[in-house]
Amino acid sequence: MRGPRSGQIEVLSDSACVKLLRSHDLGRIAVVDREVRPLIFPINYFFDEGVVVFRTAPGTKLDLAPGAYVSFEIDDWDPNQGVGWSVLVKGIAHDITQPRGAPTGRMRYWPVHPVAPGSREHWAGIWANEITGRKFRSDAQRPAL
Amino acid sequence: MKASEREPELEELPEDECLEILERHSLGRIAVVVQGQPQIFPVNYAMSGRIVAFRTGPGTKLSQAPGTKVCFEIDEYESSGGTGWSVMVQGVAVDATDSFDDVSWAAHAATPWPLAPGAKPFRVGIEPSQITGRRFRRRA
Repeated sequence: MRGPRSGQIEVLSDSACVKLLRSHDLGRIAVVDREVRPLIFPINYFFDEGVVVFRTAPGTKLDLAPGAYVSFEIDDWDPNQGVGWSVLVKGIAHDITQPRGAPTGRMRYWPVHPVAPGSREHWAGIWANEITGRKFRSDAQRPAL
Repeated sequence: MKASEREPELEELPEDECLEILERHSLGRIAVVVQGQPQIFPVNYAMSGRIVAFRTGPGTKLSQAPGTKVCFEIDEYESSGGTGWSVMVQGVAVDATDSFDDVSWAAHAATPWPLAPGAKPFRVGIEPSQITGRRFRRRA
């Protein structure tokens, strides 16, 4: 696997971030509640056209996300290769359960497959304003305890 | 097995079980609010009692987190077994680098081991107000 040299952090290009977002389906959304407390929830998603689409049930995410600035993150750490990366999407969430036009109508057919049980009939999208990512190769050797 | 005896598909985890899970892992994510927008950063952490401790360099986490409400989360999904869980710690972040309050002492007792390169001379502790978790089995 190509990547940064040991002990270095590489800033990922837009296209590398998009490729990672498109090749994964589990990430985390952060929303802010009314007391300005951030909350993190794992979600299954599908990414295309600059939008992270997910499904949810009535509850905290649906109460807080639509119309709000949120963040979405994916990451991975491969202990064998010693390589880690993360991608952060900052954007505005919208409820697309009732499509308001052709683009949001189309998103309702995207393959979003929640693995957690429960009915998740509401659809939402995070329209990205900014996508950033980084990758590193670790030179950290944890000493034997 | 009768349907009523099956494990629930989605169960809330008690705090002591959440703490056990937190103890067994070392990579999570912290969310901090910057100008009204949450941001998420992966961090290597270690527990010291109920305190989540991590090390960081100068930057957003250090400039924004201390003194504010933050969220820390870990999760895992086992696709072969179809089971998953997540644990969320809500609390206030404390810059423990040069402090000697109880949270800072606890943060200093922990041994987080950052994998990402770069000097991380600062220590942050999260004093939890709430620790919650859930476990689920994939929908049938």
